[in-house]
Amino acid sequence: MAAALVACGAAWGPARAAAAAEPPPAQGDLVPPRVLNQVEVTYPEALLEAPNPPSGEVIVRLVVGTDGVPKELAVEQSLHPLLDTRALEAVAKLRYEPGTYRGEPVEIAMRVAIPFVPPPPAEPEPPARTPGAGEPPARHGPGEAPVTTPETGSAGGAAAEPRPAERAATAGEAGAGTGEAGEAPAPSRPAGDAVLAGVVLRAGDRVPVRDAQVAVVPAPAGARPGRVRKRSYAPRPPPPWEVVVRTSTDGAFEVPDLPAGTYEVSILAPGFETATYVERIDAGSKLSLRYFIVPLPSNPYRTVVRERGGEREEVTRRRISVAEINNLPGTQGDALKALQNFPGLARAPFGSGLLLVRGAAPDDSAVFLGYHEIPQLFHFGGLTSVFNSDILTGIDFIPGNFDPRYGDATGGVVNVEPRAGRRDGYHGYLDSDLFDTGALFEGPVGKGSFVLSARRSYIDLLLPLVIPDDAGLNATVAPRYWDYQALFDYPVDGGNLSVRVFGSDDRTKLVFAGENDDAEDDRNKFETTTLFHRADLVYRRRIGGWSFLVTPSYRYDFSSTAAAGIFRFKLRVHTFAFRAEVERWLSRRFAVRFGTEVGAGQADIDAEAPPVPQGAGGSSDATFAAVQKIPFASLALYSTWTIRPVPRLSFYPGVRLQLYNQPEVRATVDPRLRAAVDVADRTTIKAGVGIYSQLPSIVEWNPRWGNPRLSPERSLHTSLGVAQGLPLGMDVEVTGFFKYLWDLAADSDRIVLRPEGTVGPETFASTGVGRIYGAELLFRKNLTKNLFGWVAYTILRSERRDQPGDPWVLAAFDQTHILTLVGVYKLPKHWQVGARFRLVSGNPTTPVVGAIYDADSGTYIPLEGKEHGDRLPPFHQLDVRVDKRWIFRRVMLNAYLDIQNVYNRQNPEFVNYSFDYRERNYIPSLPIIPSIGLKLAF
Amino acid sequence: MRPHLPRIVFVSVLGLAAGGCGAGLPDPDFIAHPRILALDAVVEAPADPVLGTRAEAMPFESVRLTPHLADPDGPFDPQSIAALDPQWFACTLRPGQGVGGCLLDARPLAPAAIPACPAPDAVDPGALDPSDPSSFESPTPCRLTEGPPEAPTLPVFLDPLFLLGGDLEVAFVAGLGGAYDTDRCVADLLSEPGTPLSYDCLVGVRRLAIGPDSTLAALAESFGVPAPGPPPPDPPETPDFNPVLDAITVTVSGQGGPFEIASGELVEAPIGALLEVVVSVTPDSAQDYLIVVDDAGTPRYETRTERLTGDFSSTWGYIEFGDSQGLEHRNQWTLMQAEEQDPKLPGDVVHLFVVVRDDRTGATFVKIPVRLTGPGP
Repeated sequence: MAAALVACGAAWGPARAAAAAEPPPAQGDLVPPRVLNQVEVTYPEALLEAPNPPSGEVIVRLVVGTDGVPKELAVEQSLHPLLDTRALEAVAKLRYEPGTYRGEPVEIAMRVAIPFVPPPPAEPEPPARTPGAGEPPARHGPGEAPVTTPETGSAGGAAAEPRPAERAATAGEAGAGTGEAGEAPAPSRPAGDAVLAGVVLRAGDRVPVRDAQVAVVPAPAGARPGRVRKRSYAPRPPPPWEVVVRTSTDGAFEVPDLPAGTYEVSILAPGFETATYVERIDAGSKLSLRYFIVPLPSNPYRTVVRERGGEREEVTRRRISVAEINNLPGTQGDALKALQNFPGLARAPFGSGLLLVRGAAPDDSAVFLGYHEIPQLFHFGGLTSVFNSDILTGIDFIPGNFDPRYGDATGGVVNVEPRAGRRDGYHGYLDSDLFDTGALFEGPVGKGSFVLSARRSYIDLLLPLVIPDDAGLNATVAPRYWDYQALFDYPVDGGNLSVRVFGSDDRTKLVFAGENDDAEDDRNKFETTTLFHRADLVYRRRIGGWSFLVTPSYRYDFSSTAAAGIFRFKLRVHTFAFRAEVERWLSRRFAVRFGTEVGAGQADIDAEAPPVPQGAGGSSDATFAAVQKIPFASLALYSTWTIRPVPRLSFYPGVRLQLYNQPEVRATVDPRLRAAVDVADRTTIKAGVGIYSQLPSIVEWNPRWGNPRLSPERSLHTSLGVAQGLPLGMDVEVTGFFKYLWDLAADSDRIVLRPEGTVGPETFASTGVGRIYGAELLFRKNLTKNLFGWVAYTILRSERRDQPGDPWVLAAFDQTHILTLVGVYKLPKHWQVGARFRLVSGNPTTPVVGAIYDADSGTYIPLEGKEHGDRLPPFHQLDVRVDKRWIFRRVMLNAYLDIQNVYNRQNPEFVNYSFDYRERNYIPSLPIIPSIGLKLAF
Repeated sequence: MRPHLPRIVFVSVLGLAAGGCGAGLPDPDFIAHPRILALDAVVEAPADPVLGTRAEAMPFESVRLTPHLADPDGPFDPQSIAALDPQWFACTLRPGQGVGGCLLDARPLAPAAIPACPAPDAVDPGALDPSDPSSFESPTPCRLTEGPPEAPTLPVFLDPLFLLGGDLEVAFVAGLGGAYDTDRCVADLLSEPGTPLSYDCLVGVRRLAIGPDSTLAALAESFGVPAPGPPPPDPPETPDFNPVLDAITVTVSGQGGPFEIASGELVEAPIGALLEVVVSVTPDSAQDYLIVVDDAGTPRYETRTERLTGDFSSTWGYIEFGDSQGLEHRNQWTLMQAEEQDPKLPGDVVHLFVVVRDDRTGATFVKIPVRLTGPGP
C-alpha cells in the first residue's frame, strides 16, 4: 500500500554522525521518516568576497520516497542561487528510514531548512571531527560558522515531531574538515561537577519534544539569568566551547560535568521557535529546568490523503483533514460543515445541513461513522455536527460511484472515521461560542487511550430572555441539543480494539398561546425530538498479507414530531448491525476484499397524520393512524477486487448483493466498476460505472400511508474524472457525471387490489424516473506555508418525471451553478484570516397562476403553473473569519470571530404568498450572524 | 433500512414557520376584494333538536348548498349571487384525496362535455366486483342541475368510491363580470394545468362528507364489497353536524352590553367604537367521532373530539385576532379606518363575519352588520 501523505518537517541540526535511534513517536497511524546520515555543505567562496555575504536559511522541499531517497527537490525559500544549489546538493545526499502509515511505507513530503552563515575572517584552526552519537559536539573554533543560528530558527516545523533530517553544517575555511561527513573538533571545556538537566515541552499542551537540540555555551559577560528575548543578528565570535545534546523520547536532557558559572542555553527543534535562556549554576549542584517552546504558526501537516492503490480508488473522493479545515469561515469551527464547500454538494436552505449530493434528494445519501450508518450528521438540521469533529481522523465525501462497501443509497456517501485518543499525555479543551459549549478530555490508558467529549447548547437558556412576554410564544422546551462521545482504543492480540459509545439529542417544544383561545390543544404546539445512541466494537488486525475487520454495533433511535395538530409521529428503532471484512493482497497487482453487512431490529411507529398530499388539492378530513411494530432485517454481501495489470493502471470491479425483508422480501444486485490510470507522474484519470439501490422512505412503503409493493429504487452512476497535480502545492480535478434513476416512488391515483385483499388507492407506484448530469471542478491550493484554499464549481441538471410520457421537470433542489471560493491565510503571531464566497443558482419554484378557496379550512389552494418552471434569484454570500491563538506554557487559547453573511444579503429562500395568492414576497435566508468563540486547550 | 422521518419535513416546517408571519402581505382579516367566505352544506332532513343540521350525507339523500360571498361593501344577497350565474360541479374524491384535487386532476376538461350529475341510483351495486379495481372507477366530475344556482340541491348518487372511504367534492364557480363571466372562468379553470385563472373568478370547493364511514362500510358489505376496517361500532357512529350557535353577544364601548343578537341583526355603533364580539356554540357541537387505528395490522377504533375554530373577517375597521379556538369565539373590533381602507360616514353599514368550523366538514356562518353612527369616542 502506498499512500501519499503530505507533511512538513524542517531539517535542522548540526553535522554529526548518524546513529540509529529509536523510531520517532507516531502521530496516530503516521510515523515520519528518520534521517540516517548527515551531509556537510560549504559556504561558497565566491560569496565571501561580497561586501555583505548572504546569511539565512534555504528551505528545500522534498519527498522522501518509500526507499528513503529524497526526490522532487525544490527550493521553497531562496537565499542566493549559489546557496540554493549547495542546499539542493546537500539534501539530495541525505538518506532516510522511510516514513510509514499504518505500518506500510509511504512517501512523505517534507521541508528542510539549511542555514547558511558566512564565517568570520579565517584564523588557524584545529582539525575538525564530527562527534559520534551522544558524544560532546565538535568545538567550533574561529573561522567556523557556529552550529546553531538562534536567529534563524526553522520554518514549517512538524507539530507531530517527525525526526528532522540532520542539517548540513556550514563549514568554515579549508582545513576545517569541510565536506567530510561525521567530523568535528573535539570539545575542550573545563571540567566541573554541576549538572544541568531538564525537559523540553511544547508550549500549550506540554507534549515532550523529542530530538530537540539543547546547546550550552558560556554566557557572554554581563548576561542576566532569564529568557533572552532580544536577538542579535550580528555575527558573534564563537564561544570557547559548546556542549550540544538532544532530548530523549520524553523530552529530557542532561548536561553533566559543568563547572559553576553562567550559561546560555539554546533550544532548537524543527517546527518550533528558537528559545534561549541564561542560567546560572553553582558548583556541585544539579539544576533541573522545564522549557516550554512555542510551535511555529504554520501547520506542518497538510494531511490530505490522496490514496493511490491500497484503498480502492474512488472516482471522486474528497478527503478532508480536520487539522486543515477546522477553522474555515462559515463553519463555526465544525469540520463536518466544511463539506458544504466542496463541489457536488448543493446549498441547503437556511444552512440546514441537508446533504444534497449531485442533484439527489436528501434521503438518497448516507452518512457512515466508523463503518456504520448514523441517522443524521448535524443537530437541528445544520447547527453543528452531532459528533465532535476534533476526534475524527478525516472526512471522506464520495459524491458517486462509491465502493460496494456502502449500500442502500443512490446519492452519495459521507464517511467519517473517529481517531484514537492521544497517548502523549493528558489533553483536552473547553470550547464556547454563542450557541454551545463543548469539552474534550483524552489521554493514555495502559497501552491504549481514551477520549471523552460532550457538548450542550444554551439557546434554550437565552431564548426566553429575549422573547417578549406578549409575543404569545412560550418556549416550553426551547431548541436545545447535546451530544457525547466516549472512545476507548487498546491494542489486543496484535490488532486494535476500539470501543465507542456516542449519542445525540435534539429537542424543542414551542407553545403558541392565543389570548382569545378559550382552549389550548395540539394546534397550539410544535414539538420535535430527535435522538440516537450507539455503541460499537471495532476490531482490526493484520496478519501478514491479510487484514481483518469485525464490528458489531447497536443503535437506538427515537424521533418524535407533533406539528400544530396537523400530524404527530413517534418512531422508535432498535438496530443491531454487524460488519465483517477480510482483505488479502495476493500480489502487488491483485487484491480482494470480501465483506458482509447485517442489520436487524424493530421499528415501533405510533403516528396519526392525514394522507400524504398527492397531486393538486387542499385539506383532507381523513386521519390515518397506526401503531405498528415492524421487524426488519437486511443482509448484504459485497466484494471489491483490485487488479493492477501494469503499475499505472488499476481496476476495481465489485459487486454488492443486498436482501431486504421490508416491506416485502426483495433482493438487489449492484455490480460496480472503477478504474484509475496514472497517465503521468501527477496526472490521473479515473472512471466509474455502477448500479446503486435504495429502499423508498418508510412513509412511501408503509401499508397505512403508502404502498408496500414498491420496488427498491435504482440508479446507474457513471463518472469520468481527471486529477492533475500542479506546482506550488496546487492541484486541479475535473469530473463529469451522469446518473439515471428508475423505479422511483411516485404519486399514483390508481385504484388497485391492495395486498390485504381489498380494493383501495395505490397512493404510490414505482414509476418515477430521473436523470442527473453535470460536471465539477475543484482547484485547490494545499497548505504549504501560509495560504490554502480552493475554488469549487459545479454545473448540473437534475430532472425527474413521475409517469411515462410525463414531461421532465426539474428536481426540487436543482441548482444549475454552484461556485464556492475559500481562502485562508496564516499571518504572523498566530493570526489567521479566512473568507468564503458562494454564488449559487436559486432553487426552482413553481409559479402560482391563480387560487381557489378551500371552504373546509378557510384557506386557499394555489393553482400552479409549470412545475419548477421558475427560479428564485441567485444566492450569494460572503463569510469571514478571524482566528487568534495565544500559546502559554501549559495551555493554549484560541479565539475566533466568525461572521456569516457579512454584507447581510437578503437571499430569498422560499416564496411567501399572501393568503389568497394575489401577492408574494420572499422568505429570506439567514441574516448576518456574528459568532464569537473561545477555546482553551491543554 | 433508513427508518426516519424524511428530513425534508423538518426544513419544510421551518420554512412554513418562517413564512407564517406574512410580513408585508395583505391582512387576510380585511375583505379588500370580493371573495368566498363559506360554502354551507345542509342535508335536507329534519334538524336534530340538539345537534342541529347535518353536514354529512349518505347516498340517496339530498344536500342543499349555500354560498356566502362578500366584498368591501358587505355580503352578497341571493339575488346578487344569482346575477353572477354561478355553476356548480361535483366530483368524487378518492379516499384521503385533498379537496379540490378531484376536479383539478381531471383537467383538461371541456365544460360542455361535463354531464349532469347522475341520478342517485344510477350505479348498480351488483356490478361491483370486490376483486376488480376497474369496477370502482368513478364517472365524475358532473354538473349540478337541480335548484336555483344561488342555492342548488345535490341528490347524492351512489359512487363506488364512497364504499372505499371516498367523499364528494363540490365546486362553486362564478365570474365577477366584464371579461370574466362565469363561462370564461369555468373554461379557464378546466383548461390545461398551468392555465392562469383570473382573480375576477371566484372559485370555491368544499368536501361533502359521505358517511359515516362505518355506516358506509355496512352498506358496502350489503353489496358484497368487503370493507377494510373493524366491524361497525355499536352504537353506530353519529354523522358530522354543523356547529350549533348558542349565542351571539356584542358589547359596544360606551353603550354598555353585552347585547345578545341574532346572525344578521343590525347593530348601531359610533365610528371609533370598540366592539367586543363573542360567538359561542353549544358544547354538543364538539362531537366525538371515531378514527380507525391500524394496531399492528389489526384495525380498531379510537375516539377523537372535534376542535372548533372561528375565522373572523370584516369589511372595515380592524379586528384584534384572525381566529380563535374553542366553544367561545371572541374578538375585538375597532370601528376606525385602517391603513388600506376607504373612509366611512355615519349611516354606512360595515360587517363582521365569523365562520365557525369543526375539524371535519361542519361549518356555521355568522354575519354581524353594524350601522355607523356619528363620531364617538
